[in-house]
Amino acid sequence: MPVGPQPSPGPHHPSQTAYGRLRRVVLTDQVSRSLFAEYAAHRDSDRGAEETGWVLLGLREADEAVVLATLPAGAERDAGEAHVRFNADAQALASRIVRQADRRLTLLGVVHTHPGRLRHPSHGDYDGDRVWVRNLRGEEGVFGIGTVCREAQASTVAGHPQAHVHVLDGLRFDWYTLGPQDRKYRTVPVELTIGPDLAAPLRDVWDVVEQHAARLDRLARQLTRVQFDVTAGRDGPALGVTVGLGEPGQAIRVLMEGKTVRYFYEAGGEGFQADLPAGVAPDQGVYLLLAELAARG
Amino acid sequence: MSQQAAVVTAGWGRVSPGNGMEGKAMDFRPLNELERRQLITALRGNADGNRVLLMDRRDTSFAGTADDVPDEEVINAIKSVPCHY
Repeated sequence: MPVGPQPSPGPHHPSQTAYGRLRRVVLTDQVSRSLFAEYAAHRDSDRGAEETGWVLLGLREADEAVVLATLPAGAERDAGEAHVRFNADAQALASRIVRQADRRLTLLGVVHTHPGRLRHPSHGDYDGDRVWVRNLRGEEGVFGIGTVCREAQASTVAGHPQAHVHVLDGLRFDWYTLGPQDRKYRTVPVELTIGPDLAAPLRDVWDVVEQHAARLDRLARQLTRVQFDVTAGRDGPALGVTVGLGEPGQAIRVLMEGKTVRYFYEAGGEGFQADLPAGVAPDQGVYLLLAELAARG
Repeated sequence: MSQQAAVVTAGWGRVSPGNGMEGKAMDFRPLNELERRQLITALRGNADGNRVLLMDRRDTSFAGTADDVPDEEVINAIKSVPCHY
């Protein structure tokens, strides 16, 4: 147990990195494609007049942020023409899944769209963001604003008209940073590098993530050996959950595909499908199977 | 039990171990809630995933877990994202 002077309480763990102000934001090419493609698809949808957005996961280096994953607002977002509140439960579970591969990933910031031509965050954004950034490493957040850019010529190649702006095919993202003491958002140079959107595989099962987010997140908090993956289901992609048991090679496996949830018990290289009552929630099903296994000794 | 050990057991006081650390305060104050949660998360990470626990070499206090970011920190930040306008 610690016996010496303790670090000042803060919103996050002590880090080996000495954080300075962000000098630039680096997006991977797939992250940038996710933002432009999903913004375009959103505008073509029946909710296209609403605002939408993403949270950004990545690496917070000493003076730069490298964005490696985008988590969308979700179908269950609360949004209108002048506001958007993300489905945070789904994004929380998604962050847990994405970070299985790299636990250095942290929350870097937020991108959201404006229906008009306001190309910077609003006063309302500022009031919330300047408090919220205290939750982030370095107490500074990255903020992107997506808008329509009719003057940008249709092209398959993105433009970079200013250091903090990317445009592509009639859409535009402007990039800013904000710290808790800043009186206004600061434009920040944005650059591209080759790399993934680590959350891209989750897009195929995002409806399942939203459907079961709170329960699966709670399951991951209650049990230590819970792993998630995206895998092939019966008719398409499925979200899989594996709960490791006490012995090597023993696990409970849950596959969620659309509205269907299937349960398996794996032991000694063999798999057994378990029949549970219809309507059983995934976490409930796991505990029913654990109880059954315990009863069998 | 020596007088010195008795002081340590009682906690909350200043001790003079006689090994060159005379005058150094040993702070046995209880952890606050955030510190307690951080330490528990780190200990679980160490037990479950062999993650490194860092120690401040000056005073042996807990100094985090390398640059791994705890789930709790990320999820708390996500769940507190404000409404955007």
